[in-house]
Amino acid sequence: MASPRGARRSARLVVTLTATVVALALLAGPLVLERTASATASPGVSAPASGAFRYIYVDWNGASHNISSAGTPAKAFSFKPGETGHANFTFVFSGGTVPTGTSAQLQLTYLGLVLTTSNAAVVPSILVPGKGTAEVNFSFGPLYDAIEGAFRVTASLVASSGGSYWSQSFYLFVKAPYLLESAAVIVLLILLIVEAFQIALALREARRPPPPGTPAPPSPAPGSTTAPVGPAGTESGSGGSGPPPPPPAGPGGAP
Amino acid sequence: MSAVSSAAGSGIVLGIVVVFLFQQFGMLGLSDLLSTLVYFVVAGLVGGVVFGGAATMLVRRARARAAATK
Repeated sequence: MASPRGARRSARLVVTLTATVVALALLAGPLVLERTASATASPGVSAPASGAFRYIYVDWNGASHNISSAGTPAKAFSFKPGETGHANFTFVFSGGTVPTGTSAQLQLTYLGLVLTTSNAAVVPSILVPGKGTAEVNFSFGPLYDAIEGAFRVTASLVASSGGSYWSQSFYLFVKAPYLLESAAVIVLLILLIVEAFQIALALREARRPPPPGTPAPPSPAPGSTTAPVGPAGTESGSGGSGPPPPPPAGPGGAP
Repeated sequence: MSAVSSAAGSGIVLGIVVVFLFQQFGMLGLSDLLSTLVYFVVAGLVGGVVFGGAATMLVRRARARAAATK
């Protein structure tokens, strides 16, 4: 009787395969992500693109949280979706004066879509020529109940023409208040476990030998002369290997 | 054949679910559409191949065992 051992083996196989998938994703995901991040990340306290800035600092919710320290999802700033975050931009243009119409902007993107955009006008410094500051308030808006996970926010300085002087991305790790997305994923995983359990049960049933009193199912040997009994019309005339059906015997049909 | 295709489909769905799960745990960013699609395709392929292969192996073993029992 090999059925319990077989069922145990198949259950072990399913568990092993699931663990393999999770391990592969765990290994491959951060590797790909690290490569992508290293290819796209800007330096922390930025040497601005095309030499337009002497320096730029963008701090998130306080002076000690420079956004360059949250360049990957693993280092994301934690954020409650109901709260409002503040990004403080401080920069000095090397050109001398801050161009009029310059604004600071935060954009949240997900699956290639811009979900929210927050803007604030840059305030030029009176004392230091070229220096500007801006404070952008950021919130998730109406999405805050459903959003959960690591999300990328792009901080940028935008010219009045719409072009970008400078931009840098950082990550926020958001916990939804009711864990909606996690609940959906957990339900899916429970469904998967139930499916695997049912497959294991079905295999176990299939391997179990039939009880002693059960008649064996008809299995015609090749070349046998009797066709198995089936529904009307399913076996008759299906190739001609069997004998022809006997002619109907009438009352005076026989010589 | 139906069991194998069902298992492969389950593996594909599981792969995509795992990608979302990693995003929720803060291990993955799904901001760019292209990289997200790459994640989905790779995870779906891995899940489908692994689960489809496992189902093929299980079905073959069950058939061999049934034939040996007869």
